[in-house]
Parts: sequence; C-alpha cells; structure tokens
Amino acid sequence: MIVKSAVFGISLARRSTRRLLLACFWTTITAFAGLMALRAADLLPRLHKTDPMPVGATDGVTAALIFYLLSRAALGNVVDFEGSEFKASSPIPFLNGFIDGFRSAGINNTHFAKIDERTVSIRNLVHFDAYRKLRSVVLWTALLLIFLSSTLEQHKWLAAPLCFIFFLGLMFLPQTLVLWTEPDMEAPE
Amino acid sequence: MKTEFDFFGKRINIASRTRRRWLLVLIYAQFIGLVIAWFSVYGRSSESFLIILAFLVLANILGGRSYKRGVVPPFAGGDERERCRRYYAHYVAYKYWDLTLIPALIAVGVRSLPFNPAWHPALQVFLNRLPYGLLVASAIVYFTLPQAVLFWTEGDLEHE
Repeated sequence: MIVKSAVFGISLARRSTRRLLLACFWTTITAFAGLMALRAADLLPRLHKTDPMPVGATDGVTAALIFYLLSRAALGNVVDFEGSEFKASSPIPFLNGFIDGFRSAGINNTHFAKIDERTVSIRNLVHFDAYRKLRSVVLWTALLLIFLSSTLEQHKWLAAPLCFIFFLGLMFLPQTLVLWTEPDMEAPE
Repeated sequence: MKTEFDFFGKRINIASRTRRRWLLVLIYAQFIGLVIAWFSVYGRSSESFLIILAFLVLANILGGRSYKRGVVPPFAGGDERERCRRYYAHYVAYKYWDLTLIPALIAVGVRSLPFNPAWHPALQVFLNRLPYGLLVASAIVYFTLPQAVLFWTEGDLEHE
C-alpha cells in the first residue's frame, strides 16, 4: 500500500516515524482550523485594515496551498486508490498533483500500475473503518448544529473551521489509516 | 437484501433493481424535504426534534448500520460476499461524501462576503443559513450513502 520509502529524506520504513509524521500533519490541520475560527470571530488582527473578509478568499487560498503541500509531503505515499494512470500522461504536473489530492488519491511521480487484489481489499476495508470512526463525530456535530441553530447566525466563526476540518481533514483519513496501520517495512536486501 | 418492503402492513415487492431504485429515490426525496423543513424551522428546537425523529424513521426503513428491520441488512455479520460488497460500498460512499462538503465550503465563502443592503432580506437570511443547512444535508448523506450504494447496485433478486 505504501509506494514511497522516504519523504524529504526521512525514511518511512518504520511505523513509528510514519505515525510521527501523521501527528504533525493532523496538528497542522487542527491548528489551521483553530486559526480560522479565531480570525472569523475577530479575535485575531486582520491582515489589512480594509480587509472586508473575515474568512473568505484569503483563507481559501491558504487552505488550498497547505492542503497541496501537506498532501505531497505527508500523504502522497499511499498507493493511488483508483489504480489510475492519468498522471503519467498529463501535460500539467502541478495541476495533476492538486487534482490527485481532490481525488483522495496518492501522489507519486513514478508510475501507476493497476492495483492488485490485496490493495483493493485493504483500500475498501480502510474506507469502511474510516466511515465507522467518523460516526460519533458526525452525529454530535449534526446534533449541535440542529439544537443550537437559534444562535448559529450570531456565531459565524463556526461554519468555516467545521467545513475545513470535515472536507480537507477527513479527505485524508483513509490514507492516514493505511500509513498508521501498515507494519514496519523490511529493509532492502 | 430484503425482497419485500413492509409499508404499514402492505407488502411491496422490491426484488427487481428498478423497484428498489424507485424506493431509494423516494426515500432521498423525503430527506431533501427534511433539510428544507429544517431550513424553515431554523432555531426552533421542538420542530428540530421532530425532524430528527422523521430522519430516524426513514433511516430505519433503509436499514444498514445496526438497523435490523431495514431493507438493507445490518452491517455486522454476513458472509464473505456481503462483507466484500459492504466494504466496497463504503469506499464508493466515502469518495463521494467528501464532495458533498464542497457546496458548504463555497457557501461559507459567499456568506463571509459583505452583503449588499439592497438585497432582499429573505435572500440574506437564506445565505446566512445555507452553510449549516448544507452541513446537515451532508451529515444525512454520510449516514445513508453506503446503504444507498448497496441498495442501488445489487442486481435483480429472486422474490421469495
């Protein structure tokens, strides 16, 4: 399932290293969501006095950039879930990597052969697991939104980090589960 | 997968895929209705509670998860083929569930722009509520999509 053995010179062979990398990744995502909430609640100074948007284009572009860089650095190590080969033939490599992230696929510049049966079965299983792990999070968030709806219009700060965490964060959950659970790799002979 | 659907004591044959798909379309039409209802009762907890109740009834009809009486069998147990199909359905559902959050993200962006005072007040209220409405819709999709994928893709069954 893991197609790269190193990222930025850090070996991914050991599970503990991968887990550390994942912890950094999720901390960054959470911290950015927190900053988004603080900015939207006007608790942080605005970048410019005339900046009319508490959360909007600026955060959107920053989020997209963070998402792109992190997906390449931390989570581009899992095999492409679709077994697709479209990246090799695309004329725009940068855009390719970006689209990969949106497809929840791994990013690898080498080649994408068709995925084997074991990979398909692990891929489906991790998605089932990811879905189950989210159950209580989604349930409590939905209940919170429904029961607090009378005051939500005064709390504009809540929507942006919620969308950010759910969309960008959870897009990486299956890949996270793969990187987290795959055992230590054997050293090359 | 059940081949009959019990509708207030009346047994409806859903062995054919076409019939199942019609039933699924009807169930999702109800879900859309619930989201619209939530939009209109926004902020009133008693009505919100009724909406949740209606959602639970519909989810119970659809089945899956831990619902034992739904048209889709519960997710625990089953033979090898059922487990493989279930895992695959979750893979497909997860992939598309991500995408349901894009409209919510866009709605957040639109709402954060300063509204033109000339806009109709109803439009301003609508834009204010839209992100949360879309998040609730996305939660409904999360809870029902794997069952829907299973229900939609299963071939014709023999009626018992």
